[in-house]
Amino acid sequence: MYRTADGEQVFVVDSHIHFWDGSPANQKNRFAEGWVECFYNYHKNLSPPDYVWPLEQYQRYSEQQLMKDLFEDGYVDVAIFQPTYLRDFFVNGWNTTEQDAVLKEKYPDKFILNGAFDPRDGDAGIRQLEEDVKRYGLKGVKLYTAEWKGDSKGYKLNDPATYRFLDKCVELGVTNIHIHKGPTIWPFNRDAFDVADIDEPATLYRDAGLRFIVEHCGLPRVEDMCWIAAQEPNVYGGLAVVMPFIHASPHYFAEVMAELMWWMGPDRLLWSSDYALWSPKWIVDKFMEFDFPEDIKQSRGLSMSFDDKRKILGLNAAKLYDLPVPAEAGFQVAVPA
Amino acid sequence: MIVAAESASTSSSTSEPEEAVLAALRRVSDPELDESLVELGFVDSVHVDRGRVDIVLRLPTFWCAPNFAYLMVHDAREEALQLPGVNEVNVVLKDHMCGDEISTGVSAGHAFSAVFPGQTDGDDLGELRALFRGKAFGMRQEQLVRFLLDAGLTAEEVVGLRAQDVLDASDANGLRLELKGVARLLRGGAPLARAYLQRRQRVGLDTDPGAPLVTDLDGAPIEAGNLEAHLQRTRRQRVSMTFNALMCRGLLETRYGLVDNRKEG
Repeated sequence: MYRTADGEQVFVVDSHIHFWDGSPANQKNRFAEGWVECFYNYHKNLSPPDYVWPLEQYQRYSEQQLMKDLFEDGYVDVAIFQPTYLRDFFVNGWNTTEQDAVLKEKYPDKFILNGAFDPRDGDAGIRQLEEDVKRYGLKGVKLYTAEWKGDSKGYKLNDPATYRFLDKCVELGVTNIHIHKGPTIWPFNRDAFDVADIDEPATLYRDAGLRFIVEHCGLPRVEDMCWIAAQEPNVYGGLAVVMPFIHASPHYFAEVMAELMWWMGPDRLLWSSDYALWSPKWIVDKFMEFDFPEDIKQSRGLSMSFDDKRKILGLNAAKLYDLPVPAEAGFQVAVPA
Repeated sequence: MIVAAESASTSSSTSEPEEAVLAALRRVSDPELDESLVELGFVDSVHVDRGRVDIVLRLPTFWCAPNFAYLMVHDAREEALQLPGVNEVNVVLKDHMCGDEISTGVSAGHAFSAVFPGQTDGDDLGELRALFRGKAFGMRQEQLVRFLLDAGLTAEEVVGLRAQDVLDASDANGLRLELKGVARLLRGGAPLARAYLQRRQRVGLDTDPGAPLVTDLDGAPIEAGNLEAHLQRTRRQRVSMTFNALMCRGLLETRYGLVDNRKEG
């Protein structure tokens, strides 16, 4: 819970966190090494100096560190695990549902556990999804369409094979589909970050109640993401990776937030730290202080109210995951379904 | 040999042939960011030995998309080959997931689809290049039009401009423009106009001097009443591209320990 100087409370849901293992022992190949190096550079480049970790700590951090950074220092009430498997790169996977489940079982009220599926797994994948939902009570999945699998370098969200899994999600009540778009998605010669494959499933599964949360707001194709989201009311923006620019480049951050607020509004944006890429404390502090600069306020007629911040920091995610929100933390702020 | 070309390009140790290669590389841009490889710091080193040129490029991450990387390596080689006296050019992409495939593929003149068999679909990289030239067109247009509106032109005046009304975009004093039969000098506008005209030409819209200056990507004119809505779309492209450029510069600086002069205050 974040408390303002005048005692108002803000319910904080960190909608995208990891408990990964990037240690050398878990790295299978040079792709794993490249993966960790790339993540670490994001961390170093965008964190305030006091929050930069040594590489070894970053590769594998402890449960105690995570609990402290999120719940003691970072104002977080509930955090959502978003797994990323990467079994072609890491011996035990980078950050799997099973790994995350250990902490979920230990601290059931602190975490939401999301699962994952990969349409290339076919029948076995469907059975696994059924088992995972039964075992963990999943309400959401995180999909990484750029994941390598043998000769395949990725898949599309609008593949018929994916629809089979989305049908299964509808049947099992898994309504929150988080999608990470990343480089090297198949085919190689097309735009690797294209978000267009979200448009069709968003339309097809709207009435069935699926919500598509585009992690990183489609960065680096935020322009296409805004365009799709403006037309599809069940498309949401996950602010992972966008948020830390609030420190390094506040004006650019404001410009991107202006686009997101303009095309999507405050009801469909979900804040996250992407822990351990970044630590939540400084991001929440800065966001609570944030306001659009005068030039954007005047030319766009945009504002970022206290209630907007409450929605983005927690209430929107609480709505998607049916989380109980303490009365004093703004449950009266209406968040559309 | 020039190392870390952006910072070293002014050093006295830089030889003339190497300067010429750097100048050629300034004409090569990252298609995704619409900025030159030299300005972005993507040129790691340039070495000239008689007719042979060796260029090493570097990118912000190990994972930067192979297709854009291929275009940059390809274009860098093509530009260097145009230089007088150059008969061999090797471009190496270092520290990249597909660095070897791309470096050898480009040097051998192979198509992208031949370098990554089974991983491509239909058209080689032409469509991708065209898509991003369109985005760059939108970004540069938004910057120029905002400048014109800020300089006091009305929406009607902006959409009424024809290509030939740009009298001179190379004058250091400003952009020379003909507005309703009167020549105007708009200070600070020349670089924006040059950038836009070049992208406009690249998407094939510079055939008729009497054509409207501000159009959509298909060359269709914009109505004054629709200019603001049109700008909302192109502004999205500009914000996205400039934000990506910021992210890439930052990651490159961190990856290679370069001086960080990017952060605002």
